[in-house]
Amino acid sequence: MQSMDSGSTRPARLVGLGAAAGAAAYAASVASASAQEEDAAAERSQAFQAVQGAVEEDVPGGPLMVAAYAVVLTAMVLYVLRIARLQRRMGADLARLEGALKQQARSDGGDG
Amino acid sequence: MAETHETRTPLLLTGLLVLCAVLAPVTIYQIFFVAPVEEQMGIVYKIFFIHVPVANAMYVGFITCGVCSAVYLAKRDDRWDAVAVAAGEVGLLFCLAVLASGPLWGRKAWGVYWTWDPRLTSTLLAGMVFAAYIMLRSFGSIGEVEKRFGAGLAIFGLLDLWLIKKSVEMWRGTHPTVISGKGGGIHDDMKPAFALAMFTFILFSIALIWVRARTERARQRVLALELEAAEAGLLEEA
Repeated sequence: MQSMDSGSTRPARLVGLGAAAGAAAYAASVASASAQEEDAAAERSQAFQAVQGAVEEDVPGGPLMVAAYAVVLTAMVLYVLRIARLQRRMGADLARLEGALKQQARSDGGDG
Repeated sequence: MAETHETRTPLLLTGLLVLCAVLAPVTIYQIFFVAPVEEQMGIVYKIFFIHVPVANAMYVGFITCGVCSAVYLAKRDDRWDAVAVAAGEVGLLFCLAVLASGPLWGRKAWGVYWTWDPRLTSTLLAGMVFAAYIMLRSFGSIGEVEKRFGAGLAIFGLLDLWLIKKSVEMWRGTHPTVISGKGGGIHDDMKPAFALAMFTFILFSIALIWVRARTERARQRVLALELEAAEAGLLEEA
């Protein structure tokens, strides 16, 4: 009988312990979350102060802007030069081939 | 080479090139000496005056490429193919300019050069699609099948352009929507420089496509003549 009692109460105790542990964990997480919220609120700027001395930015905007314009304009100029070179080459090839074909046609006409 | 009707530069193209040459320094003057500095970002915001116009020039190039490729598939006329190749190449040039100038602004505004924002990612994807198109088309004398495959690729690229446009509306991201969407716009004093930059870059993209298309037509003529010369047995002698 005693063994039956102990057998039936053990799972209940385990469930109780589990529930207590769960509640403790939940309470701990709630406490931690509220602490984090407090930290997050504390971390936000709450006042603006005037700078002392010279202003120094961690990421300077000027060089980035100059780099952007330099990259874009250089790419445009290089592309225009590429087209100009391609045009010259095509012009030379066309002249060479047209000349050779005309000469061939003339010599064919002369033979005929 | 004697100047023919095909090789002579059209008056309209010459006018367009002269207009671009005149507008370029005026635009630069407006951007750097007239437009005010932005309150939050400081001077780096002036990248906006080149980033947005080159993005629009990219659209001009890629849309022209896709549309001309579709017309080429319907008509099989090499003139449309030449314009498609030229526009694809010019669009890719401007796409690279967008992908280079944007991260330089992002470094200051976001603290990082690159983030996988939907608009950035879809723009990169468009660049990769049209880079594949240009690579395919640069393999010398390609055949009809490759031309048709390339045209299909360019039309597929058009879908991605729609995605770039809609990405700021459909997904949450970090890309600004100052001009498009529900953005608040720009200060009145910034508008002349911005409008001028947009106009200049769109004209410049049209001029580049036109000049490059004429070169591509010349290349097609060279290939046809080479074939003719080879049939006549002239190339072995050369």
